[in-house]
Amino acid sequence: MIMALFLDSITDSMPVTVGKFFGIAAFDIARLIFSAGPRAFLDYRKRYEWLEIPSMPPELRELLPNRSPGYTAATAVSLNYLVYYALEALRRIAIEPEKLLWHEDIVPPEIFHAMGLVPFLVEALPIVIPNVNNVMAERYIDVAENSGYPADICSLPKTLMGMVESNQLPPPKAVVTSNSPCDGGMASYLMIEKKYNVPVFRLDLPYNFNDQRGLDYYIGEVRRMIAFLEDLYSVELDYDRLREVCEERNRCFSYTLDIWDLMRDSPAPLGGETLVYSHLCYQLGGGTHAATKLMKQILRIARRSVERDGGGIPNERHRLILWNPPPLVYPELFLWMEKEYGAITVMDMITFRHQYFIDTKSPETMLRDLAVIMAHGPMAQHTRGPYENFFDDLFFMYESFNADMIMMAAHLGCKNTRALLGMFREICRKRSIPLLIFDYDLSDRRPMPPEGIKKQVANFMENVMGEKK
Amino acid sequence: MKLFAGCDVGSTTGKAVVLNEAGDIMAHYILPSAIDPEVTAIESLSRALAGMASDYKIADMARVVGASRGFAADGIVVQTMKFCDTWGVDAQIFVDKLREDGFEALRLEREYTRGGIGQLRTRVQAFLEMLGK
Repeated sequence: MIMALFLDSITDSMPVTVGKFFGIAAFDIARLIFSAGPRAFLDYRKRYEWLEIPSMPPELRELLPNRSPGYTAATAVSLNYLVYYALEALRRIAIEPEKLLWHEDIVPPEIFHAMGLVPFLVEALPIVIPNVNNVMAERYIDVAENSGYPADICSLPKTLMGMVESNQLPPPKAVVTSNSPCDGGMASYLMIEKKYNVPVFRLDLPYNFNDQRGLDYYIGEVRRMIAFLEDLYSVELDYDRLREVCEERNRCFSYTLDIWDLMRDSPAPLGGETLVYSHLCYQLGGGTHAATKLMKQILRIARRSVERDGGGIPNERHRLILWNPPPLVYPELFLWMEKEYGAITVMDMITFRHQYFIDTKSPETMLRDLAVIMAHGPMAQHTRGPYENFFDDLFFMYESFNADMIMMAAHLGCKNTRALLGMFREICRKRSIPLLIFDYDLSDRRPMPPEGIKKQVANFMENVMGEKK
Repeated sequence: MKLFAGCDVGSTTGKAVVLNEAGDIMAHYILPSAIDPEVTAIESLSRALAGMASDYKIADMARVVGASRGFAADGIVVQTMKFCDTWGVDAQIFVDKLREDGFEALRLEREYTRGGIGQLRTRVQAFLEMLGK
């Protein structure tokens, strides 16, 4: 009994969490070195400037203790997964370079795993780098703009194009992308195609994919993609293997749903950027055991966070839904809002997905459900088709996660979603939902620095949500 | 009658196609490929529109470069609409390709309004001076 109490008191404590984080990261690095060889590792270190150990920003160091031990531990295991993904991808690329396939973040990797390929999510690093080193991300943005690409497109594809121009990504054998989520993202793949001169497959998601005709067309697109890959890599899609991958994803999703159940109640066990980081496992490693393990770990920690710590933050006063991607250049925003206003993000666009399980009865059912997952994935659905695609998930989340406000991250480079801001205000006003729209840039601090973001949030929290000035 | 119209080089007539109630093409402007009488009007129209070089698809580049040589062009102005992401990225790839092939190329960004006419004129004048004209 005493031992159990002792163990409970040190589990998730800061020294244990930090020790675990660095221990696991060191293990992943060691595996890369031993498996791919020291020469490959040194070559990577020489070629890729992003392969570095980031330092912790002072503001994060100051704000992190406000989170409960469980919440902090969940943040750490989510970050561990991102480190694991990058190093594991490099390890496999060094061993099987002929199987490397780049894929867009809207196209999840289950089918590629079942084909035995080495999928590499092209946007993974452009998503992660601004979180840990905004100066580096801004340098890539400058490279893209100085190469003549428009300054007014989304800074995520600009970061990607800058990385490609700077030879900061392992060159692909082929690329699979789509016509979602936006014109800027779609256009960036033309530049990639030109740079590497490799075959590129573009999944064509119809404007309206909610009816049977649209879905049938998209299933046809998925079949066309499989034929393209089979031909190019001289492999055949093994449907038994695909079934195993889909079942693994289903297991992963059952843990996710349990996490979401905990998120519905107040106090929430975790939230903010930790939700986003952890759920990236679907885009990065959908259908892999590592993704399932992550969700299982997060669930276990979330339960401890509620039972032992009494929630993720002390004195939870506001529960918010974040719409649009979070500010990658300033993840500390979430911690600041938690500390300053007791406001925790309980769900967001990138985390939420309403296609739950894959029916593994037959190849047809699997392909159908995978097509639905792609079409209705985060951002894929929300930036395409009729306006209901953008709003329905949002209001479902607002009600079912018991939120009391919506925070719309109005990314300056996102023309699709900024076009909806007027309608957004109108609908929220009619429904009497407090709506905070703040301007920011996804991957670039220069157009809107952190102080500017905080000022907008403070104005809203103090004047609309009744927080103390 | 039905009118299919789009924006090309500042003129909606660039892609205007008039169909009758049966879907037959009654008139069309500046479609780069001929209307094929063997297929339906809609199919023929779809093929023609898909083949237009209104965005600088890689497949179109050789065609445009060839046409420029054929007309003995001294320089090429690649103009794009401000805030158009697809044109914006495509155009730079296209300009790079033209310069690789030995053409003098001006990348020009414009808006729908006439407010920027002075700047556009200055840039084109500078380009022409560079060409020695």
